[in-house]
Amino acid sequence: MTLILLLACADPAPTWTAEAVLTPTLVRLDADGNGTLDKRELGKVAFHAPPFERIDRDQSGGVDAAELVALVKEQPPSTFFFPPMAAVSGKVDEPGRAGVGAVSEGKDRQGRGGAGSGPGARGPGGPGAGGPGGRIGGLLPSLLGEESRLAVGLGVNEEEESVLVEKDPLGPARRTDPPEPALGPVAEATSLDGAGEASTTEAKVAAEPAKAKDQAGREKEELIRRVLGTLIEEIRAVAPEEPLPTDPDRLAAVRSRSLNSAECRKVLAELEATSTRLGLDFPVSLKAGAVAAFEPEPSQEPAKALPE
Amino acid sequence: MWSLLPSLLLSACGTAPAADPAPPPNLILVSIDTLRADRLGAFGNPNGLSPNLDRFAAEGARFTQAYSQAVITAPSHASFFTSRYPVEEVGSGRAPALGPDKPLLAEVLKIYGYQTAAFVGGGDLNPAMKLNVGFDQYNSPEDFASLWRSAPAALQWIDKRDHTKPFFTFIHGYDTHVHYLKPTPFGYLYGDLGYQGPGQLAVRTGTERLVHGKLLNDTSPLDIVHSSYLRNYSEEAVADLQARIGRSRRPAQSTNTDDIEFVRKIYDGAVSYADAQLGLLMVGLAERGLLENTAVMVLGDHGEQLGEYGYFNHCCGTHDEESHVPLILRLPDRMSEVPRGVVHTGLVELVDVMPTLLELAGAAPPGEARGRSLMPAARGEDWKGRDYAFTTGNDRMRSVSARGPKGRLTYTGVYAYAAIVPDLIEAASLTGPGFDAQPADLDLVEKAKMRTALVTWLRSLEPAPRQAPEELPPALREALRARGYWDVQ
Repeated sequence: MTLILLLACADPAPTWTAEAVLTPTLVRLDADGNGTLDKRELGKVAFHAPPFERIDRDQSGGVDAAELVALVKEQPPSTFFFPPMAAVSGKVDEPGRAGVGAVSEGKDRQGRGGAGSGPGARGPGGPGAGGPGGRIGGLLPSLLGEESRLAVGLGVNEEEESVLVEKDPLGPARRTDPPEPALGPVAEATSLDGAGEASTTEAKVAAEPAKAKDQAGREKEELIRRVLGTLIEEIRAVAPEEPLPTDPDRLAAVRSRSLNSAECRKVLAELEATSTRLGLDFPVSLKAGAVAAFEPEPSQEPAKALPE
Repeated sequence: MWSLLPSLLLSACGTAPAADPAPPPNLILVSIDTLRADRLGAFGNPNGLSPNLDRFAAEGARFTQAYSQAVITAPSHASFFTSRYPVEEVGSGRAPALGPDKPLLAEVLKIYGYQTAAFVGGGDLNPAMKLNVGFDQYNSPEDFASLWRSAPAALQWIDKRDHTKPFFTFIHGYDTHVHYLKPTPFGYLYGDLGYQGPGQLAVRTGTERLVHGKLLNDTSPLDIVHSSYLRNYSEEAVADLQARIGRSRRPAQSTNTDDIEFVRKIYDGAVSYADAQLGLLMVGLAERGLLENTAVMVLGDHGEQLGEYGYFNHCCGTHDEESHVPLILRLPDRMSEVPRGVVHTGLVELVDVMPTLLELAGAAPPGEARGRSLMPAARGEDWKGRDYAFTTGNDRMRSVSARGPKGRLTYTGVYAYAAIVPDLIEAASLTGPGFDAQPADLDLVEKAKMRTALVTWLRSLEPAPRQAPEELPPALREALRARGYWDVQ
């Protein structure tokens, strides 16, 4: 009975534990594979970190997964900026120099005090910056040896400092808005934004709606012609040897608005059949707008006969 | 006695069938800002950066072809909180133009009896962005804060909640956002601590200065980064940018491939940091016995360019690097019949998040929701992804993009709330500079199909009205610009 119960109550998936969360990271750093991180192993990745002796809470000489968890929970990620490493500027920091002091002043990039900016925001991690992260981040990373000085990396090159603080690229200065983007290849086309300038005479005012409608109609037609041209270009790109269903003169006539609607529809139907057969989707605007766009204008030039 | 054996066994295992229907599950939505899908082992990355997220995916369902609808934080979150597209939400401002016709996820869940709370990292989710509607509590104590802060705060709230009602908690952190450098041991877990080069400055400040092989020291050319000038990354645009850099008052530092790789490795360290924070959140939930009746969804709100197109950050393009995001749903443990560790490769949009969580809650999605529930997939039922996923560029939407099974087509240079945009896209030549494709050799027929899909999609939307840019608190404006959002007014 007991055996049956045990088999029936097979273990569910492993429980989530904090040590299991950090174990893969520990394994990655554990060069000698002994299950803990010694000073040298942790020193390869430590910066702005507490002293090793503090991380190694049980003073065993090695940081285990539980101690790594405590370290991760203890250290806030800085929401503002770490000072640049001296190595960036080519100058090597002197140990214990004012580079550390720059952090301990707890100033943010705007040169303000430890309160930082933003609602409830803090300045860069460092003493005086407030919160537990401030206390820990401000301690000299004291993993001993040359590696630790690199790990400190807190030297501040004055020229860089001026970029980050005094010059204040984030200050209220001088940002100019980028120019309105050109619309690329279609920018040369007629603007589709509609009517012209406001008039001051009654006659002009009265004529505005009709003028706007006419303008919009012409712009729509121009757009449709461009769509048509693009479609033909794509048919040719997909199937260069494919003869177009209509001769170039008929296509030119479609574009020139000299055909009546029925003929236009016929040309477009042939193009639609060709493009569909080639796997190209026929443009929606040619389906929906073609007829209206090519309606002959009233009392305009007489409809021309098709070229032979 | 033997007839009682099955019941005894079940009772002994604590899985006796419940007499009453199960209560609605608690819901937790975790957004890891700027997390690229291709950095996770569960999504194919071979470098072991995300052991906890991989385990989380093994306990849930992952969607390997999920794409965000925007590439910056505010409109992306708005899109999955409302199941509407950014074109429909964002006018000319930065914050979404939400209205009564666009209820937020938290608002709907409240109607269905959920208590709601959000713990966010400020910045683009600062209350000024108005995404706090529907939350009983909206905690945004610090701009650009990490899950390190928001996840423990969420657990504290969960401990003090009303235990007679289900809860919805939204937890967000900027763990993989600039600046990338994270605390020991993650900061230099993959990058060399002893590296001496311009990348060290970039990962400690912001990477938007890393542009086309240069680390800019003078900020004036940075306007170009977020302008349409680089819209197509054409040779002419790059050459002009480099000429402008040359004319600037402070010369830029040249960068090489080692510098770029260093920055990428620091980003990977941030991924592992986020992974650990998610793992610690799961530990907290497990310790409280909440995994039995809580669904947890983890996603990235957008990705990040890591130099693939010459720049770092997320702003201007809609390429896969900026829009391909992880999406993983872990259902409550009590749903034992559901298969675990399932991989779904169909196309998914983040607008599908709201309907999915609402179905879990037993709620109906708003009629205008553009997304569809992923629960059939999560339950292991027959399910097919979308034909296309659509993404728009930065908050002025200078690019629009369709992602199909074979690749992506992007059109750049327009303002999507202009009604003329679909016509312009349809008129533009597929071989011209307005379009670019991933992969670059995508055939013309496929591009044409995607253009049609893009145009059809745009024509189906109701563009948000133009609105005056909102007044952001000065401190938030500075914080956003400090993080590379140079278009903030």
